[in-house]
Amino acid sequence: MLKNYTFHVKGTHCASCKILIEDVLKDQDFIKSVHVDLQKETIEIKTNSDQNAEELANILTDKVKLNGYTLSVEKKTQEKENDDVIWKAIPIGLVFLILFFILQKSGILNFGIDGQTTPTTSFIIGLIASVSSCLAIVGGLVLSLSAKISQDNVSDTKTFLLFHLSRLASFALLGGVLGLIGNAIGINFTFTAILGILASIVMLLLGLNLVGVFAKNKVALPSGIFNFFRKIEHKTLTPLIVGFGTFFLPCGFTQAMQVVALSSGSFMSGFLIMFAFVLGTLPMLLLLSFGSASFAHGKHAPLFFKSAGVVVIGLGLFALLAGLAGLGIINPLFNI
Amino acid sequence: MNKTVSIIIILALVVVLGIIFFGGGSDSVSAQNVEIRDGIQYVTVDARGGYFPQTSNAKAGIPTKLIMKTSGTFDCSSALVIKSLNYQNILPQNAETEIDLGVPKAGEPLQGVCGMGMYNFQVRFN
Repeated sequence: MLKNYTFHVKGTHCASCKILIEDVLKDQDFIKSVHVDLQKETIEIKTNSDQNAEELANILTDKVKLNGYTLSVEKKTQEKENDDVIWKAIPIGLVFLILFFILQKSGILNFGIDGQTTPTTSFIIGLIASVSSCLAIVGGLVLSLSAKISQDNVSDTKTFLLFHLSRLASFALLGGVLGLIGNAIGINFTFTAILGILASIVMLLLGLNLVGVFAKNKVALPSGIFNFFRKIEHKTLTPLIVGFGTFFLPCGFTQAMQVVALSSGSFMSGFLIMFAFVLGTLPMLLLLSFGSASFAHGKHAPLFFKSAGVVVIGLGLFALLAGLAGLGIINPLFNI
Repeated sequence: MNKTVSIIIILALVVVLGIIFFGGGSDSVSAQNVEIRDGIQYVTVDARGGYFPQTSNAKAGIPTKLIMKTSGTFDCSSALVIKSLNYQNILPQNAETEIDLGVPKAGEPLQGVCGMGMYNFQVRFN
């Protein structure tokens, strides 16, 4: 005879988790039907097994444990497990931040490039820029958005491709336009600095969200903001606009290349210079977005999200303080 | 991981971060980057991967020019902002750019930052 049980499930961080758990549990002979409710974080099963709920929870947990899920009869106080993960995530995130800032401080990235700027040198400058302090803002933004999107959405590949393609196209086209127009338009520092500060605030919010501060304490403020994010991140237009916007984010390398494109004298040469530059920055950013997607669907997802959150908060703070100093609102706190 | 162990590791890592950001300031204040020629004081600052020297000491009360020297500079230090002069410019990649500081008064240091704000330098006048 069939019995109904409802268990609480933990570790379901994405829509694909539902499919995965249902697939695994359906394979057990004693289970007749499975339904995962992601919102309530519960699993309903129909079974002909004689075991009691506790035993069933343990048996089923064994089946999905490898994928990072646990079933329980009582709703486990989430705090405990969350705490464990966060105490691992903070050191991991800090180590990445330290490595990043040591790289900046080491001066390895500071070799000069002499002579004419050709598409080849632009490409090399792009490679350097992609690991320079510009990574703090552009990379931090890409990492936080990618992790957030992977967390909420299964089909993240399309979003990432749109973002990267839009970035490539915008840089090349705007480079061409700069070359064509020549000195007619100046690149406004204040505008890019304000954009940078906005980007760092977005990073801080997403970082805190990834770490789980908002989920845990149910902070009232951001629910509107996150619904807003959730709404826009599913639209096709959003990755295109964000990709386009990265052209204007404050990054010394990008700004210097914009000036080179500006003085290059023709649409074609400006186009080639900026296209080569953005190609150079591509590998690192591809790694960040698709790397985070693959982690997000793996079994270490909770740890990854929290560690990424710590890194993003660190970079966001750095970018915010630097941006405020750049605008002259606060005194520069550091030289890095 | 044990919570206590983790907290100790976190504290250690934060100290390392602090040292990276604020430590190691072996600033060569005595760098020979200030010279007076024909009654005009020239302060030379190298811009590449930051500004060097970070702090310069110059004399107040004489006409002064700041020379920003770039050599294949593409990083943030080429995007120079000097708030007190309302100066915002992207320095050419390989050049010496002259910026007129007028006649600086004592005790009013000149502060320059790069566009993104993570590099800065100061010229003190006394």
